[in-house]
Amino acid sequence: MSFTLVVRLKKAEGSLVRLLGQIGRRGYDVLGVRAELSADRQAFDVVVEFVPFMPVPPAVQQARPADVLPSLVAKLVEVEKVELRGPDSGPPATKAPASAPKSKAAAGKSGDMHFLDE
Amino acid sequence: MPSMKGASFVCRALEAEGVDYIFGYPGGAIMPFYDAIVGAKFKHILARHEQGAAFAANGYARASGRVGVCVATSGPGTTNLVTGIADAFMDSVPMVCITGQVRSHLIGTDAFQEVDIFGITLPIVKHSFLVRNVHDLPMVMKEAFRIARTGRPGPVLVDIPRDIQEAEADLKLLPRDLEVERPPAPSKESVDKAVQLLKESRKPIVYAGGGVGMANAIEEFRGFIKVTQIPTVHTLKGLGTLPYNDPLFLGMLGMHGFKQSNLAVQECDLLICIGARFDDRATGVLAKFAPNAKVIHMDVDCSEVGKLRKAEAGIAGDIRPALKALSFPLPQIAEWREACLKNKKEYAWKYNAPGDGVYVPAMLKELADRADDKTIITCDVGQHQMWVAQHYGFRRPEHHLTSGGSGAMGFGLPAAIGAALSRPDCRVICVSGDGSIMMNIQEMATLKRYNIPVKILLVDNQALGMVRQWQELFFAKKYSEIDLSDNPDFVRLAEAFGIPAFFLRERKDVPRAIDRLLNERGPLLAHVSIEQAENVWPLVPPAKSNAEMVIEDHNK
Repeated sequence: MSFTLVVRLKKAEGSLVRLLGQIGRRGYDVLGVRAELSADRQAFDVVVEFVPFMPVPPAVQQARPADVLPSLVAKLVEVEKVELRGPDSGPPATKAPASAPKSKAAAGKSGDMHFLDE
Repeated sequence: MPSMKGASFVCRALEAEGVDYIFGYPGGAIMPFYDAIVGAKFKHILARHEQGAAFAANGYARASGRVGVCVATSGPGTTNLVTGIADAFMDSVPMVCITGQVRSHLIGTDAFQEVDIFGITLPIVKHSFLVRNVHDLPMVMKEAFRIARTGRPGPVLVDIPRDIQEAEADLKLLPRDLEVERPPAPSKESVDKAVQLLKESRKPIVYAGGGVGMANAIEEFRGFIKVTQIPTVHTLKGLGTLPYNDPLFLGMLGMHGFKQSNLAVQECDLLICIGARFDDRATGVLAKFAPNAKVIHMDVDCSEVGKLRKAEAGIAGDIRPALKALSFPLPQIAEWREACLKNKKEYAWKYNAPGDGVYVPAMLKELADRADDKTIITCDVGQHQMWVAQHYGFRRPEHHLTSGGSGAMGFGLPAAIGAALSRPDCRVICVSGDGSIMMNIQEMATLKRYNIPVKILLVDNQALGMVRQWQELFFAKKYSEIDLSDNPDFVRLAEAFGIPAFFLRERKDVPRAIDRLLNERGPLLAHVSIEQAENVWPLVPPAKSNAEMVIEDHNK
């Protein structure tokens, strides 16, 4: 079951590496990435397809919930917008998304409520 | 501001931020900066190893709440900072780490002392900068401090190539933020949901961590507990948030938590997690942690909410208004509270270990009883660290400096140096072990050079005690590489650094030793020899729930 993360990322030293590192380190396998420089060359529009890392038995842990990832990514200073799509919303788009991704606030950056059982 | 070199601008930026101490070690790629600091308004403390500098800045920040600053040269200088940076990241400590880098045109050529410290530290910094243009320095320096101290604090790396330090430009300081940005207020819906859960609960427990103190929410937190009368447990980093002698404080929870704390959490129907993150040392087997509880989770970092444990009510942002909103009487929990307090009395530590040798829990309790409210304890990592957490009663969280998340041996002594410089109004005691102290023993030279009045209480069991304990209990007493019986003579070693020291082994000598620790001026080392077989109890064995803790016989 794969998910897609759509991120608007400020173009800065190491920002792409930092983003992908954060996703991998926090327990998500990256299946595909597409990054394009924005028209003003100040940002990247990044589409990442991923699956939550699934521990192998006898590990008892569950896979990481995918809906936690946007808030982990939104912590990065260069991330301007982030949106989670999926599951199985398809492979990464061939172009940057037409609709603007949600803002950091929509990912919980500004005091959003998290009712994770909803 | 006239044209100046980049290195000079960095100094002016540090001064503008109100920095009074920086901790570092010079070398080739950072030489322009070291040239520029001569005559600066801040004082540079020369550590004897970059890791010592990083931990000293870390201790400075933890004790004062201000941003700690450390400096190193490129290559090995920067990699030696890494453990201290990782520790700051794990424990959310505000630091700015300034590193020299090889000249810009040499980056990527495997130049002498070139290391990609920007890349190496990506996973362990809140943010990082590699300065490519001298004109970026005003923004970089301002942002580095802002990011380090804003929201959930953390370390920020500023890597500056040597040519950028030497470049001349018209550089102006950007206006400094006068106040730290407060996190956003939590949403009304999340607070309303928490209020509802609290009203429905009959057996609530507060599980509070270091985030309460970092959010400057101690008063609101104490007010919340006073009004609601909810029994409270703390994480290692939360100790002191509620004073140790508050009747509602049950103790630390987790692997080495007290029985009354772990039992209360296991039996509660509502777990109110405040500024904590369900760390595995606190929860044991997560699936068996507080199995019957709904969860209210409050944290400045919304990514912590639901990261490991589902929260029925997640309150992200400024916890202070939320604590005020949740402060109302809960008459329905009286029976539960009495049961918790009865357990606290029943399972209270007895301090009655047999023998004439020094019993560390009793020694630490006596030290806490006799020390005043302005005593800061720094720890290293291992058995002594857990004994401090269990038996030294803390009154404020910033008085307990411990490497909680990363568990870095070697933290205690340099952190004490930083703490003593940032809080000259406080007495600072470093409690260490014979394994840990050797990891940054060179910083005794720093103590001596600046005559920093840190007291070292060295607990020596001639072994890597925590590893030995686990090998005894879980590896069939097959002891592997834990023997330190060839330790140096620590008294003579301290004296070689110019630091007075004394030795004790007998329990009867403890009161006089504490007299000296509390009353002598200047640095001092007390070398305390204890039995190697001493273990830390209680203990939750691996892969067990916190309800399945093991306790030694005389404290059952």
